[in-house]
Amino acid sequence: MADTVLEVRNVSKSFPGVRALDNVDMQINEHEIVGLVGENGAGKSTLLKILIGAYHPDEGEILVRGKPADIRSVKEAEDYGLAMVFQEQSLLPNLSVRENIFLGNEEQFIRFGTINWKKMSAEAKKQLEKVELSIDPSTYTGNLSFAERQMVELARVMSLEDRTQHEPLIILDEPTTVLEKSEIDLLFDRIRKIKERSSILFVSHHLDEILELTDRIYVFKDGQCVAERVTSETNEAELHQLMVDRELKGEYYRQDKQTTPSEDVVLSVRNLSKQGFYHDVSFDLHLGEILSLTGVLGSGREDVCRTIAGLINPDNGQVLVDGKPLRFGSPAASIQSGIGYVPQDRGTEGLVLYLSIGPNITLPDLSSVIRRGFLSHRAEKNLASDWIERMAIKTPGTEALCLNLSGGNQQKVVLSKWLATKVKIFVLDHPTRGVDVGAKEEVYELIRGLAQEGIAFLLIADTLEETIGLSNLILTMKDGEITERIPAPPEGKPLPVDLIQHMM
Amino acid sequence: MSVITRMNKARKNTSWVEIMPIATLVILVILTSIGSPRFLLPATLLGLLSQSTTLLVMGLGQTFIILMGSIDLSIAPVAAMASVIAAMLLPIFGYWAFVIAALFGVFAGALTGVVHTKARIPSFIATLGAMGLWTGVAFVVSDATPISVSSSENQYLTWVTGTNFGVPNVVIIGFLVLLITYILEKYTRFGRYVKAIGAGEKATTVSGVPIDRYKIMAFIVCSTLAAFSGILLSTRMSGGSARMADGFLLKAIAVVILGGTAISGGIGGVLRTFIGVLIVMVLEVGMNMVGVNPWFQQAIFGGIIILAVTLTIDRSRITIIK
Repeated sequence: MADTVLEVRNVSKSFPGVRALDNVDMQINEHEIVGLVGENGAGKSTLLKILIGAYHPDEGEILVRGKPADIRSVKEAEDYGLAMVFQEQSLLPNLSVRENIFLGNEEQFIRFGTINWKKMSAEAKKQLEKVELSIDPSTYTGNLSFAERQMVELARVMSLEDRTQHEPLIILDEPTTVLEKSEIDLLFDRIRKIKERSSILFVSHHLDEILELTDRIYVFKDGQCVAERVTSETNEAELHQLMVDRELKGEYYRQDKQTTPSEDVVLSVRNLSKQGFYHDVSFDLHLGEILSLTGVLGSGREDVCRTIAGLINPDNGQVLVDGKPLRFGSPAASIQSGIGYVPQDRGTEGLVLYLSIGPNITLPDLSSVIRRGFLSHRAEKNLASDWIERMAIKTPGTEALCLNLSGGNQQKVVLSKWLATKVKIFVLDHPTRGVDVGAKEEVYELIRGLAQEGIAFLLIADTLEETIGLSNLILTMKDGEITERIPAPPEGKPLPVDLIQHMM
Repeated sequence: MSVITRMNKARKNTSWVEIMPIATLVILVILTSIGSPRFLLPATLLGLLSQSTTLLVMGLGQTFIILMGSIDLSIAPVAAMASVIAAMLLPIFGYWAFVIAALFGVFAGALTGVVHTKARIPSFIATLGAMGLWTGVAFVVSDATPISVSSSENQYLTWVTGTNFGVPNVVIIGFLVLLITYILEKYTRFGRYVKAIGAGEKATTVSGVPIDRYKIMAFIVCSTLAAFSGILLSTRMSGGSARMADGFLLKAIAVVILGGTAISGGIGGVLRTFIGVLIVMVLEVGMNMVGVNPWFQQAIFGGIIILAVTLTIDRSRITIIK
């Protein structure tokens, strides 16, 4: 048996309201490629952040080559030989390749306070050879293709080998997102090569890539490591099952109140395309319907929602609201058509945190509190009080800044804002993210009530369970395209595994 | 951080920023009146107020820009240019000269506003460019020499230089501008949206507010008030000059910040700027009293701006300082 390079022992990490990692164990051996899979929120990112020192575990320990390692920063992680190739590329495009490879570690080339470029180039060349990339180290990184940049990233982490006198452990987080198929093959080829002098932790939503490249796979679910498989002895179907296998609680999502939507189409999306985001998306949203878009990060579902909200301009296609075409690229036009967008990033896009409840509610439609040409603070305050009562918003007073409200109460203010504007269509992007359990149930109750009144919802839910529990119809998306339409009536809800096979 | 500590922190921040300027003003008034008992006489105060009106009008305009989280560096040359226009056109057009000078302010504001929003250039750079532009134009138009208003045209100046019921007209004008800007800030869409843009531009955009339109309007308001303060200067000085408003930029920003309007935007208002003007006014009296070199007073205002921002800024909202 090969030597263990990294051992994660009983590691736990909690954030307010969630146990992101729960007693996780993991081992990575020398010259091994280990895959890590799980749906959004399973705890993968939290573990990666612990490994590179961005978070510190609440319990448990990390052992590097058998010795406990207390990692507090990216720099310290690199001193242990742990380095991550980020999902969004982290190279600076305005610097040369050699400067990027040795960014932060220039001391070795400095003599009399200036950098010996020749020596740095020679050293960079040596690292680039490890990944078989033959480019001039003085090239500007911005002039390279994405695949070449990915190789430079690998060369950068391989330089740890010389610095730490150990073979590095490389963490690859969704490295193929921006690459073409041929580039992916090339990248995998190089990864297999550098495997001979390193260990690799490969994180991806693409199960086919995981199965192709890795030796062993860990499956995460709800912050726990639920399974470990030797790659040659498993398959996609089993991994899907392992990732989502859990009980459903119908009551929680008020399925008893689920209605059958009417035949009237309120929003019709036709052949909507945006290069690099989504392709040929079409669907109809009916009066009183709750329709979910589901998919992994990068599936394009958020971008479709932002397009309907007027924040993204599509290349092609049409959106009809009540039969009339929507003017793209203008939030005001979307609002005018009766669309209210509840964004994922509540703090910056949903609310003006440094304003109180009243001004936030009246922001889209100030005319409701204008009396004889002037803004009436009394009318606005009354309006705020009405909504505080109707939505049961817990606040120290009408004058309190939204900054001082809890996540759930902030979300109620966002919903009040659109209800006061009398929208007929809600576009909800993760409406229950960062909202505590009690407030979540209130939000579900509210969505059901509004759907009964005929308001239509386009929903991106936080979890697969929420998707299934709330929706009348589920559309799965993968790589920017709709892959399947799955009805979810109360008497015949699909299982998470039915969805996930169309998402990954 | 728990919700409770966040709440307490937020509450503490607001009250601190609100009380500090008034406390500073009271302390300065006490110190100054001890040093010079005549300071508190109505005649002295009215004299000081009439001297401060030009600064007040300029500061009120700048308040909207800073509330929005932007900055306008072009106000002093805009004021100087307006004084030149007024002085040059007065013999030909009479009162209309002032209207034309004010319209110049509208134009200058629209120009920077459009450049800032449509070309997506930071307000700092757009108005720095405008500062250079109007300084140059004012020097060329005035041939780099002060233009004086002959005594035969003094009749056109009394609306500013005269007095009513013992109060200088310019002070009454100052209070009228304060009242109008207060209404603008508190009771109009413009005021609300300017504040919302400063407090959270993204959320304001998502709510469908036409951000660019209100930003351009704010620059128009600011430049027009700057031009108006240039008009007031030209009447008080009986003339116009490209150097008329030298040194005003620093002070006009100082009064906004000293009053407690946050440089990061969203928090503050015109009443706070009024307090800021009073602080600067008393401070100048005090500095003259103890004999601070008038040239060196600029240096003190520069230091005060930095000190005031250091004390009031909410650093949790700013992650990278550029």
